[in-house]
Amino acid sequence: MLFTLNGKITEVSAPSMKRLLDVLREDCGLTGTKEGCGEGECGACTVLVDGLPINSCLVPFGQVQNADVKTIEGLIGHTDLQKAFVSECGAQCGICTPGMILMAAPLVERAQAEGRIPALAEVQETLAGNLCRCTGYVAIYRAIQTACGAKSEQASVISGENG
Amino acid sequence: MSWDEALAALADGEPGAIAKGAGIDLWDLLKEEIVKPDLMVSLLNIPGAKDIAKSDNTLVIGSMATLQMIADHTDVIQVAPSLAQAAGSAASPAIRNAATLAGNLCQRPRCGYFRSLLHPCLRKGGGRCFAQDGHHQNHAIFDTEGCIATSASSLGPVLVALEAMVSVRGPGGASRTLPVEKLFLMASQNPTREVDLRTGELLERVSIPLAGTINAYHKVRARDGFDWPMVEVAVGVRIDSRGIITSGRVVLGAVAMVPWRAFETEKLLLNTKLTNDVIRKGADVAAAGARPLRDNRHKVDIVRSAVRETLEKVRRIVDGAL
Amino acid sequence: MVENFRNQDRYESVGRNVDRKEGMSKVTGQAKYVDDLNFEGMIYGRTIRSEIPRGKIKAIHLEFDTEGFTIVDYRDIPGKNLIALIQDDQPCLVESEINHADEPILLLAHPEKEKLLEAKVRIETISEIPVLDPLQSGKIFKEILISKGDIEAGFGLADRIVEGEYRTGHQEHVYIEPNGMIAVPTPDGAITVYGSLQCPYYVHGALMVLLGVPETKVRVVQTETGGGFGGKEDYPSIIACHAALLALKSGRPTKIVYDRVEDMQATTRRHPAIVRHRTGVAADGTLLSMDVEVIMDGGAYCTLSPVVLSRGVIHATGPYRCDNVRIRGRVVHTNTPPNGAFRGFGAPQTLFASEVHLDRIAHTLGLDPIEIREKNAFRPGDVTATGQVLPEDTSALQVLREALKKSDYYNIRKKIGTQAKRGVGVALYWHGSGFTGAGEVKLASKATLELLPSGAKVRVASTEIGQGTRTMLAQIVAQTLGWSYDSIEVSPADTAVVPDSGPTVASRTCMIVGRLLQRCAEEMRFRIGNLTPKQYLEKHGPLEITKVYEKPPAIQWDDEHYRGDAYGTYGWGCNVVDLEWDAVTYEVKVKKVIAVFDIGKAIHPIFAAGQIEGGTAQAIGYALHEEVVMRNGRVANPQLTNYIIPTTMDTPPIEAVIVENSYRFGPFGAKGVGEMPMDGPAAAIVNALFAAGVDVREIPATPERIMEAVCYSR
Repeated sequence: MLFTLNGKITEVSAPSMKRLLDVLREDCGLTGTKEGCGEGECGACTVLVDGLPINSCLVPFGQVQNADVKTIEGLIGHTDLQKAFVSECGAQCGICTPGMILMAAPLVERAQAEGRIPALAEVQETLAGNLCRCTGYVAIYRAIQTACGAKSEQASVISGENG
Repeated sequence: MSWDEALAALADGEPGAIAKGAGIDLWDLLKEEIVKPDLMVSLLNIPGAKDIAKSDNTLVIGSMATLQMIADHTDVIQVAPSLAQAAGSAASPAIRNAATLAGNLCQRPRCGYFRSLLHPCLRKGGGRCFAQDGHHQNHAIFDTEGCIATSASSLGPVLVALEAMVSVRGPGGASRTLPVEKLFLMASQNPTREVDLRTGELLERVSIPLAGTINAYHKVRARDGFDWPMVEVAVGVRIDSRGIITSGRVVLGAVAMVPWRAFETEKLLLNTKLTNDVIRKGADVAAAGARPLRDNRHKVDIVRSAVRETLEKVRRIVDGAL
Repeated sequence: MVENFRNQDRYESVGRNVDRKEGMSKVTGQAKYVDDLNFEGMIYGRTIRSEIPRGKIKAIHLEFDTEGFTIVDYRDIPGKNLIALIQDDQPCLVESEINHADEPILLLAHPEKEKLLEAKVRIETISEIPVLDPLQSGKIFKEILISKGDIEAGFGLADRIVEGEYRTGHQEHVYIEPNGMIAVPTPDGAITVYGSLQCPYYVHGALMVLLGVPETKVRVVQTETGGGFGGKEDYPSIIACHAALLALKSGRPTKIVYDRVEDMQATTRRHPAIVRHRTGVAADGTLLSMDVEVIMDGGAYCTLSPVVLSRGVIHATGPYRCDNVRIRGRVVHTNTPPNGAFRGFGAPQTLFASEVHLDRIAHTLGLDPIEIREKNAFRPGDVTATGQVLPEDTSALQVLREALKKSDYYNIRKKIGTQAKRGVGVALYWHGSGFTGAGEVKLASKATLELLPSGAKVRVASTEIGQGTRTMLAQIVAQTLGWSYDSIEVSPADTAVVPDSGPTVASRTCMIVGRLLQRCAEEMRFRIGNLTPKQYLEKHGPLEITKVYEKPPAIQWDDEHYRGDAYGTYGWGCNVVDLEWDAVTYEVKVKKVIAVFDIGKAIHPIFAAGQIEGGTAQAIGYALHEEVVMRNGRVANPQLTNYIIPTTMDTPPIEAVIVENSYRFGPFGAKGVGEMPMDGPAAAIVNALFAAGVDVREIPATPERIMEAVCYSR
């Protein structure tokens, strides 16, 4: 079956009911897409199909015939968003990170094109289906907003009275 | 593949063939061994099946349109904002990008016992409903004699409130059209099926009459992100030039196996203006006939307040329209 | 670059937000987690488990074609059928007696995942009546008594005696990467295990006992780990043992990766607790006598329960001085899956109780919650229940005051007035850094620093599980050497190349292991003098410095009587929570959380804030949403659809503030940070609910519990 994977036309023969997630990881060797729950709740397996984020654990491979699939490996050249995830510490353990980045990528692209910083509520709504257990999401919001040009805010540190 | 080809493929595969849209619920059903198909026929690529279009008197939505397409479509937002809102707040953004209208209407209930391999419950043709004396905080409060799972469709109540029709294609090209309301089966009517689709039938599209219905939707859930509703309410009313309600529907979701019409409220609203008093009284009777279980009495209160909230929203629209 | 090695100003690392060592590999999807690894000829393993909570195995029926399968039961264990940890009570595989649901009985492996999943095994059992209520349990894993002064004398002086019982539930870790291991056998009978884990040497030790082999025959390598929170402290030993047995029997690399459901059913959870307080107070709020009883549910086997209880009871008074204290704790057996380590390790349970109880005391006396805290909070020089004289970095009052200031506490309270259904709550707490009592001495952790031509390489068993171990340790070394952060490499946590630095738990990595590395770096700096690393290596040959933990001289601990210095030092924390609840849905909406923490020194401020933000979110879930439903000893909601953790939509704004009162024996003054954020938010939330008219005493405070509390008090 033919589909476009990270910009290249790719042929893979796999059962059409195999999960896209497994085809990407096992047949295509792209392990950047992660499995966190296998039921569409955590968003770790998010990839872009025809530019839209979907849960690859819920998509049968047959469904992406002729479609354009993009995984974290396809974000070449370290996008602003990826760099901001590093500098703002939006990635701790990192397992939700590829999914978070792909979920946020269309929003960031749109916002950058429009020259605006997405509001917190918009970022939260976009990421509502992506779970992170490390960050409390704060650093992830900061990474997304910084990638769109927001000023980075540092943690507040106060000297002790006794030490 | 066309509709007729899909129907033929399904007929050839009988028994053991099933139709699928995005397959979101299907994965769970396969895992839980609730379905064990030999053949799956995907309807996703049928030409036109995703189309959303307005004609003179109806807004037609193809059954394979995704929830996000429905939520974002300008005609839907204009004609049926409650539908756009319900579609745009169901599940998560990534799921809305894949899940279809048909899948939302036909998904199977989320009851933990129904979904568990260890519980041969009524809905799976077994002998008892385990939720009756088990965990049932989020289960039905109406029609609670047998299976007490609830419909998981958020679009169902909205479409019923909008008096939408559903077109179904059957084997050999036979098609029929029925009110969305009639698509759903009460638990006491049929404990093992939720929708009235016969073998080999496919849900092709939904049509919403362009009747100037003022409509609103309200959802109550236990947490804000990505959660199944505890209660949801859809209201559709038509008013005359003085703001008097000439017809109206108030439909509750997540309280029964079908979108549940609050007939008492509807009766009360008819030929009145939405005053504080009418809204309060209408909300008070919204749960008439409820028979909650040991641990879900709170849903009765939630229904009343959610109906009040929704009617308030309707009043704001009415006030704006007059 | 080399000539600038000693340019300290230029290479200031500590206190700076340098880039995470493995940051780029994580954001590009290149970082390799256990499920991303494959080995030639690898097969997949699966665990067959009990479905009943207690009973005996009558027969095992393999209802599939066993051709091509590797099948392992307890008879295949070459060494002891045991998961070695504290008590030798937990078998690796059940022989006949089942002690909890989802207990491992049989292992299967096959090259094809699908075949493996299709294989049907029927376990025929004889059920026995399980013990599910910890209050009915007759078996105690550990009992602790802490006693100070004379509580009866204290009660005699009291104007009022206030009693209360508080309960906390199980909690799932929900690291987003489920547990997994790959065991790779070598022709000489040795085994290498790769996996998602916190403590390489725990796994190493367990494998030696199970396989009956010397240490040279076992190697454990940590793969990039997708979150731990304590959930990958003890359980990975079990999966490693299973994978190793299958690998040895089949002669092939064997991968076991749990799916979410199996992970949530079978692996450990936070201990549920019942805490009872009886407190004698003077009319002005002075605490005169505290009698505390702590009962924890350990589950079917001992695992880490004694240590969890220990931390729980030591923290049970909250950060308050009182002359007369009795704390009695016990952790008991039930026929439920064993509970284990989870961020906070017993302290979140007892601190929830102490903080919620204190607000009830204040209410009884007609005092303000802040006033009673100001009056009783520990000051430097105060003496704890175990008799520890608190060090100069004790800062309960400072964190309390900063939190009040940051949250605009008094103004918000004034604004709310008697506005129903909105409230502000406070929790003040402490958290001992590092292992309890003599733990660090017993561990005798080691750290190694190796000189490289380009700089130095850190070799420790401390694992990077997201919290920033690699980065933060490299910062400490770089700063001490006066070299650039980039010149410091960090070795993978591989037992073949790193010494036993102790487990990555107990907020000890920075304070204890960081200090060890600082000492290594100090010596390295002295040894190489004015030479560059390259010059030194050319002249003197390889340089590798290993340091062993040295107890600060003043610290004394008597484990028998639970007297003395329970911890080297403590972190101090305070939360202020502003929330509303809905009178119809009984749903709680947290509007804002302020989190102020004294952590000694923030080696990496954004990482430290990240620990605070993440721990706070986890604690909000603990307080409000996360309920493990147990049905006949088995988890009934083992999925993320029905066990709900906070999403972006229900995580409120969290504002973290770091206070630095430095600890003399920590690297650059640093103390622990990781666990503490878990200790307070639940109490602050429940106290805010109390202020808003809802008296709940059990968490999670689900809508059902709030409804009950509201209806009951009406």
